[in-house]
Amino acid sequence: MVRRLVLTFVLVLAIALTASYALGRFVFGHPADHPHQAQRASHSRHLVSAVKQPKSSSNDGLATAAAHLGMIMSKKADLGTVGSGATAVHLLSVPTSRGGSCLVAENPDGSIGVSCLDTPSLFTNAPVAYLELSDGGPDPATIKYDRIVGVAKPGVSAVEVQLSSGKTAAASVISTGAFDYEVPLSTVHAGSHPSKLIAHEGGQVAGTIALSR
Amino acid sequence: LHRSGPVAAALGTTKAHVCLGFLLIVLAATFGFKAGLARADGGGIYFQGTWAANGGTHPTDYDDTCNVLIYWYYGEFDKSSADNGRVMFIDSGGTWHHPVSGLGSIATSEPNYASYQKKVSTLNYTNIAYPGTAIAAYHSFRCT
Repeated sequence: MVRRLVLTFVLVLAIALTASYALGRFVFGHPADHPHQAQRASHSRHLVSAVKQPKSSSNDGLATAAAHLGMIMSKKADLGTVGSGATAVHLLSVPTSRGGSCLVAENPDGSIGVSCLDTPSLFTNAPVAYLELSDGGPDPATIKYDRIVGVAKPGVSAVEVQLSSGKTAAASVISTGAFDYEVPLSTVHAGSHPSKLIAHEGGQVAGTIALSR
Repeated sequence: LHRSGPVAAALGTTKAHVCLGFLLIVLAATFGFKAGLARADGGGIYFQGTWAANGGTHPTDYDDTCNVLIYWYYGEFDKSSADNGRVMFIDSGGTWHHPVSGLGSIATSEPNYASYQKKVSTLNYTNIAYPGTAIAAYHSFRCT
Protein backbone atom coordinates (compact mmCIF):
# COMPACT_ATOMS: atom_id res chain seq x y z
CA MET A 1 0.00 0.00 0.00
CA VAL A 2 2.66 2.51 1.11
CA ARG A 3 4.92 1.47 -1.73
CA ARG A 4 2.17 2.06 -4.29
CA LEU A 5 1.40 5.44 -2.73
CA VAL A 6 5.03 6.58 -2.87
CA LEU A 7 5.46 5.41 -6.44
CA THR A 8 2.30 7.24 -7.50
CA PHE A 9 3.48 10.48 -5.87
CA VAL A 10 6.93 10.26 -7.46
CA LEU A 11 5.40 9.64 -10.87
CA VAL A 12 2.97 12.54 -10.61
CA LEU A 13 5.72 14.84 -9.29
CA ALA A 14 8.01 13.98 -12.19
CA ILE A 15 5.24 14.63 -14.71
CA ALA A 16 4.34 17.96 -13.06
CA LEU A 17 7.98 19.10 -12.96
CA THR A 18 8.66 18.19 -16.59
CA ALA A 19 5.41 19.67 -17.89
CA SER A 20 5.90 22.93 -15.98
CA TYR A 21 9.49 23.31 -17.15
CA ALA A 22 8.43 22.71 -20.74
CA LEU A 23 5.58 25.19 -20.37
CA GLY A 24 7.94 27.84 -19.00
CA ARG A 25 10.31 27.35 -21.91
CA PHE A 26 7.50 27.28 -24.46
CA VAL A 27 5.68 30.37 -23.22
CA PHE A 28 8.73 32.48 -22.30
CA GLY A 29 11.42 30.88 -24.43
CA HIS A 30 14.86 32.51 -24.57
CA PRO A 31 17.02 33.72 -27.41
CA ALA A 32 19.43 31.01 -26.32
CA ASP A 33 16.72 28.51 -27.21
CA HIS A 34 15.69 30.39 -30.33
CA PRO A 35 18.76 32.10 -31.82
CA HIS A 36 16.85 33.20 -34.90
CA GLN A 37 14.34 35.02 -32.70
CA ALA A 38 17.06 36.83 -30.73
CA GLN A 39 18.79 37.82 -33.90
CA ARG A 40 15.62 39.15 -35.46
CA ALA A 41 14.67 41.01 -32.32
CA SER A 42 18.03 42.48 -31.60
CA HIS A 43 20.39 42.35 -34.55
CA SER A 44 19.71 43.34 -38.06
CA ARG A 45 23.28 42.31 -38.63
CA HIS A 46 24.29 38.73 -38.09
CA LEU A 47 26.09 37.51 -35.06
CA VAL A 48 29.19 36.36 -36.88
CA SER A 49 30.09 34.09 -34.00
CA ALA A 50 28.25 33.44 -30.80
CA VAL A 51 30.17 33.77 -27.57
CA LYS A 52 28.60 32.21 -24.51
CA GLN A 53 28.86 34.50 -21.50
CA PRO A 54 29.27 33.30 -17.94
CA LYS A 55 26.19 33.71 -15.78
CA SER A 56 26.96 36.26 -13.11
CA SER A 57 25.73 39.40 -11.40
CA SER A 58 24.45 42.54 -13.07
CA ASN A 59 27.82 44.28 -12.63
CA ASP A 60 29.73 41.75 -14.65
CA GLY A 61 31.25 44.03 -17.27
CA LEU A 62 34.76 43.46 -15.92
CA ALA A 63 34.39 39.67 -15.95
CA THR A 64 33.11 39.81 -19.52
CA ALA A 65 35.92 42.15 -20.58
CA ALA A 66 38.50 39.90 -18.94
CA ALA A 67 37.12 36.86 -20.77
CA HIS A 68 36.90 38.57 -24.17
CA LEU A 69 40.19 40.45 -24.03
CA GLY A 70 42.21 37.72 -22.36
CA MET A 71 43.04 39.78 -19.29
CA ILE A 72 44.92 37.81 -16.62
CA MET A 73 43.23 39.26 -13.56
CA SER A 74 45.47 37.31 -11.16
CA LYS A 75 48.38 39.43 -12.44
CA LYS A 76 46.68 42.80 -12.20
CA ALA A 77 48.57 45.77 -10.74
CA ASP A 78 46.59 48.19 -8.59
CA LEU A 79 47.27 51.76 -9.72
CA GLY A 80 45.17 53.28 -6.97
CA THR A 81 42.15 55.54 -6.96
CA VAL A 82 41.98 58.95 -8.59
CA GLY A 83 39.32 61.49 -7.70
CA SER A 84 37.17 61.07 -4.62
CA GLY A 85 33.63 60.33 -3.52
CA ALA A 86 31.16 60.01 -6.37
CA THR A 87 33.88 60.72 -8.93
CA ALA A 88 36.47 58.25 -7.61
CA VAL A 89 37.82 55.92 -10.27
CA HIS A 90 39.87 52.84 -9.44
CA LEU A 91 42.59 52.08 -12.00
CA LEU A 92 44.26 48.77 -12.79
CA SER A 93 46.96 47.61 -15.15
CA VAL A 94 46.37 44.06 -16.39
CA PRO A 95 48.47 41.90 -18.76
CA THR A 96 46.74 39.76 -21.34
CA SER A 97 47.26 36.17 -22.40
CA ARG A 98 47.95 37.47 -25.93
CA GLY A 99 51.01 39.45 -24.85
CA GLY A 100 49.20 42.75 -24.52
CA SER A 101 48.47 45.12 -21.67
CA CYS A 102 45.30 46.80 -20.49
CA LEU A 103 44.35 49.90 -18.55
CA VAL A 104 41.12 49.30 -16.63
CA ALA A 105 38.96 51.95 -14.94
CA GLU A 106 36.31 50.91 -12.43
CA ASN A 107 33.70 53.63 -11.91
CA PRO A 108 31.76 54.14 -8.66
CA ASP A 109 28.51 53.07 -10.34
CA GLY A 110 29.98 49.69 -11.33
CA SER A 111 30.57 50.50 -14.98
CA ILE A 112 34.00 50.03 -16.47
CA GLY A 113 36.27 51.47 -19.12
CA VAL A 114 39.04 49.39 -20.71
CA SER A 115 41.79 50.10 -23.21
CA CYS A 116 44.04 47.21 -24.24
CA LEU A 117 47.18 47.66 -26.33
CA ASP A 118 48.86 44.83 -28.22
CA THR A 119 52.22 45.49 -26.54
CA PRO A 120 53.42 44.04 -23.20
CA SER A 121 53.89 47.54 -21.82
CA LEU A 122 51.31 50.31 -21.78
CA PHE A 123 54.18 52.71 -22.58
CA THR A 124 55.64 51.19 -25.76
CA ASN A 125 54.24 53.90 -28.02
CA ALA A 126 53.81 56.79 -25.58
CA PRO A 127 54.84 57.65 -22.02
CA VAL A 128 51.19 57.69 -20.95
CA ALA A 129 48.18 55.40 -21.40
CA TYR A 130 44.71 56.88 -21.13
CA LEU A 131 40.96 56.44 -21.17
CA GLU A 132 38.37 59.14 -21.73
CA LEU A 133 35.30 58.46 -19.59
CA SER A 134 32.12 60.48 -19.82
CA ASP A 135 28.36 60.25 -19.60
CA GLY A 136 25.85 61.94 -21.86
CA GLY A 137 26.28 63.58 -25.26
CA PRO A 138 26.67 63.99 -28.13
CA ASP A 139 24.93 67.31 -27.40
CA PRO A 140 27.42 69.01 -25.02
CA ALA A 141 24.52 70.31 -22.92
CA THR A 142 23.58 66.73 -21.96
CA ILE A 143 27.07 65.70 -20.82
CA LYS A 144 27.22 65.01 -17.08
CA TYR A 145 30.99 64.65 -16.87
CA ASP A 146 34.00 64.28 -19.12
CA ARG A 147 37.33 63.13 -17.72
CA ILE A 148 40.67 61.76 -18.77
CA VAL A 149 42.20 59.08 -16.56
CA GLY A 150 45.34 57.06 -17.12
CA VAL A 151 48.80 56.14 -16.00
CA ALA A 152 52.15 57.73 -16.75
CA LYS A 153 55.47 55.97 -17.20
CA PRO A 154 57.92 56.30 -14.27
CA GLY A 155 59.93 59.46 -14.76
CA VAL A 156 57.06 61.49 -16.17
CA SER A 157 56.87 64.58 -13.99
CA ALA A 158 53.61 66.11 -15.21
CA VAL A 159 50.65 65.36 -17.44
CA GLU A 160 48.65 68.04 -19.19
CA VAL A 161 45.37 67.93 -21.07
CA GLN A 162 44.90 70.32 -23.94
CA LEU A 163 41.30 71.23 -24.70
CA SER A 164 39.76 71.95 -28.08
CA SER A 165 39.37 75.56 -26.94
CA GLY A 166 43.17 75.77 -26.88
CA LYS A 167 43.44 75.95 -23.10
CA THR A 168 45.73 73.54 -21.27
CA ALA A 169 45.20 72.16 -17.76
CA ALA A 170 47.34 70.01 -15.47
CA ALA A 171 46.12 66.55 -14.52
CA SER A 172 46.40 65.33 -10.93
CA VAL A 173 49.06 62.63 -10.71
CA ILE A 174 49.37 60.27 -7.73
CA SER A 175 52.42 58.28 -6.59
CA THR A 176 51.64 55.24 -8.74
CA GLY A 177 51.66 57.41 -11.85
CA ALA A 178 47.87 57.26 -12.18
CA PHE A 179 46.38 60.58 -13.25
CA ASP A 180 43.02 62.23 -13.64
CA TYR A 181 41.64 65.38 -15.18
CA GLU A 182 37.94 66.27 -15.18
CA VAL A 183 36.89 68.98 -17.59
CA PRO A 184 34.83 71.66 -15.78
CA LEU A 185 31.17 71.23 -16.68
CA SER A 186 30.86 74.85 -17.79
CA THR A 187 33.68 74.19 -20.25
CA VAL A 188 32.08 70.93 -21.41
CA HIS A 189 28.71 72.59 -21.93
CA ALA A 190 30.42 75.35 -23.91
CA GLY A 191 31.48 72.65 -26.37
CA SER A 192 35.13 72.20 -25.43
CA HIS A 193 36.58 68.71 -25.06
CA PRO A 194 40.01 67.11 -24.50
CA SER A 195 42.06 67.17 -27.69
CA LYS A 196 45.60 66.26 -26.68
CA LEU A 197 47.45 64.57 -23.85
CA ILE A 198 50.93 65.90 -23.12
CA ALA A 199 53.50 64.16 -20.89
CA HIS A 200 56.46 66.08 -19.47
CA GLU A 201 59.73 64.63 -18.28
CA GLY A 202 62.52 66.78 -16.85
CA GLY A 203 60.91 69.95 -18.13
CA GLN A 204 60.66 68.61 -21.66
CA VAL A 205 57.71 67.21 -23.59
CA ALA A 206 58.24 63.44 -23.45
CA GLY A 207 55.31 62.53 -25.65
CA THR A 208 51.81 63.40 -26.77
CA ILE A 209 48.65 61.54 -27.73
CA ALA A 210 46.10 63.16 -30.03
CA LEU A 211 42.57 62.78 -28.68
CA SER A 212 40.85 64.96 -31.28
CA ARG A 213 37.43 63.98 -32.63
CA LEU B 1 -8.95 9.30 9.98
CA HIS B 2 -11.24 7.64 7.51
CA ARG B 3 -11.21 6.94 3.80
CA SER B 4 -13.52 9.04 1.59
CA GLY B 5 -13.87 10.38 -2.00
CA PRO B 6 -12.89 8.86 -5.33
CA VAL B 7 -9.30 10.12 -5.31
CA ALA B 8 -8.57 8.84 -1.84
CA ALA B 9 -10.27 5.61 -2.71
CA ALA B 10 -8.30 5.27 -5.92
CA LEU B 11 -5.06 5.85 -4.12
CA GLY B 12 -6.12 3.75 -1.26
CA THR B 13 -5.10 6.38 1.28
CA THR B 14 -6.44 9.14 3.48
CA LYS B 15 -7.48 12.77 2.93
CA ALA B 16 -4.30 13.96 4.62
CA HIS B 17 -2.18 12.00 2.19
CA VAL B 18 -4.11 13.33 -0.77
CA CYS B 19 -3.67 16.94 0.45
CA LEU B 20 0.05 16.38 0.91
CA GLY B 21 0.26 14.94 -2.56
CA PHE B 22 -1.47 17.92 -4.15
CA LEU B 23 0.80 20.31 -2.22
CA LEU B 24 3.90 18.55 -3.52
CA ILE B 25 2.56 18.62 -7.04
CA VAL B 26 1.86 22.37 -6.84
CA LEU B 27 5.38 22.99 -5.47
CA ALA B 28 6.93 20.88 -8.21
CA ALA B 29 4.92 22.67 -10.87
CA THR B 30 5.98 26.08 -9.51
CA PHE B 31 9.64 25.06 -9.30
CA GLY B 32 9.59 23.63 -12.78
CA PHE B 33 7.96 26.74 -14.23
CA LYS B 34 10.54 29.04 -12.59
CA ALA B 35 13.37 26.87 -13.84
CA GLY B 36 11.95 27.25 -17.31
CA LEU B 37 12.29 31.02 -16.98
CA ALA B 38 15.98 31.03 -16.00
CA ARG B 39 18.13 33.80 -17.52
CA ALA B 40 20.23 33.17 -20.59
CA ASP B 41 23.34 35.15 -21.58
CA GLY B 42 25.02 35.50 -24.91
CA GLY B 43 26.46 37.81 -27.52
CA GLY B 44 29.46 37.95 -29.80
CA ILE B 45 30.85 39.74 -32.80
CA TYR B 46 28.15 41.76 -34.53
CA PHE B 47 30.31 43.59 -37.05
CA GLN B 48 33.71 43.12 -38.65
CA GLY B 49 35.02 45.49 -41.29
CA THR B 50 35.92 49.11 -41.79
CA TRP B 51 34.96 52.19 -39.83
CA ALA B 52 34.84 55.23 -42.09
CA ALA B 53 36.77 58.37 -41.13
CA ASN B 54 35.14 61.28 -39.33
CA GLY B 55 32.13 59.56 -37.79
CA GLY B 56 32.02 55.99 -39.08
CA THR B 57 29.74 54.06 -36.76
CA HIS B 58 28.40 50.52 -36.38
CA PRO B 59 25.62 49.93 -33.82
CA THR B 60 23.57 46.94 -32.75
CA ASP B 61 19.80 47.19 -32.81
CA TYR B 62 17.99 48.37 -29.70
CA ASP B 63 17.19 46.00 -26.89
CA ASP B 64 13.80 45.88 -25.17
CA THR B 65 12.89 47.50 -21.88
CA CYS B 66 10.36 45.13 -20.42
CA ASN B 67 9.35 41.80 -21.93
CA VAL B 68 13.08 41.60 -22.38
CA LEU B 69 14.52 39.43 -25.08
CA ILE B 70 17.92 41.12 -25.03
CA TYR B 71 19.54 43.36 -22.43
CA TRP B 72 22.81 44.83 -23.66
CA TYR B 73 25.31 45.24 -20.83
CA TYR B 74 28.72 45.14 -22.56
CA GLY B 75 30.26 46.72 -25.64
CA GLU B 76 33.73 46.23 -27.08
CA PHE B 77 35.53 47.82 -30.03
CA ASP B 78 38.68 46.00 -31.16
CA LYS B 79 41.09 47.92 -33.38
CA SER B 80 44.77 48.74 -33.72
CA SER B 81 46.72 50.15 -30.78
CA ALA B 82 47.33 53.24 -32.93
CA ASP B 83 43.65 53.98 -33.56
CA ASN B 84 41.43 56.12 -31.38
CA GLY B 85 37.73 55.39 -31.15
CA ARG B 86 34.71 55.23 -28.89
CA VAL B 87 32.32 52.54 -27.66
CA MET B 88 29.11 53.43 -25.84
CA PHE B 89 25.44 52.75 -25.21
CA ILE B 90 22.88 54.95 -26.94
CA ASP B 91 19.32 55.32 -25.67
CA SER B 92 16.23 55.60 -27.87
CA GLY B 93 16.47 59.40 -27.68
CA GLY B 94 20.00 59.32 -29.08
CA THR B 95 21.78 60.24 -25.84
CA TRP B 96 25.06 58.50 -25.09
CA HIS B 97 25.63 56.50 -21.91
CA HIS B 98 29.01 55.43 -20.54
CA PRO B 99 31.02 56.36 -23.64
CA VAL B 100 34.62 55.17 -23.38
CA SER B 101 37.31 56.45 -25.73
CA GLY B 102 40.83 55.16 -26.16
CA LEU B 103 43.43 53.33 -28.20
CA GLY B 104 43.46 49.64 -29.11
CA SER B 105 40.68 47.39 -27.88
CA ILE B 106 38.27 49.39 -25.76
CA ALA B 107 35.26 48.31 -23.70
CA THR B 108 32.40 49.75 -21.71
CA SER B 109 29.66 48.26 -19.55
CA GLU B 110 26.24 49.20 -18.23
CA PRO B 111 25.68 48.01 -14.65
CA ASN B 112 22.60 47.31 -12.60
CA TYR B 113 20.15 46.55 -15.41
CA ALA B 114 19.56 50.24 -16.08
CA SER B 115 15.96 50.46 -17.23
CA TYR B 116 16.28 52.30 -20.50
CA GLN B 117 16.15 51.02 -24.03
CA LYS B 118 19.63 50.98 -25.49
CA LYS B 119 21.93 49.80 -28.22
CA VAL B 120 25.70 49.37 -28.28
CA SER B 121 27.53 51.57 -30.75
CA THR B 122 31.09 52.16 -31.89
CA LEU B 123 32.48 55.34 -33.43
CA ASN B 124 35.57 56.37 -35.37
CA TYR B 125 36.01 60.08 -34.74
CA THR B 126 39.48 60.29 -36.30
CA ASN B 127 40.19 61.52 -39.80
CA ILE B 128 41.38 58.15 -41.11
CA ALA B 129 39.35 55.01 -41.84
CA TYR B 130 40.46 51.84 -40.09
CA PRO B 131 39.45 48.18 -39.70
CA GLY B 132 38.05 46.70 -36.53
CA THR B 133 35.67 44.33 -34.83
CA ALA B 134 32.63 45.19 -32.71
CA ILE B 135 31.36 42.91 -29.96
CA ALA B 136 28.32 43.15 -27.71
CA ALA B 137 27.10 40.94 -24.89
CA TYR B 138 23.62 40.59 -23.44
CA HIS B 139 21.60 39.12 -20.68
CA SER B 140 18.13 37.95 -21.57
CA PHE B 141 15.34 37.32 -19.15
CA ARG B 142 11.68 38.05 -18.68
CA CYS B 143 10.49 41.22 -16.90
CA THR B 144 7.75 40.65 -14.37
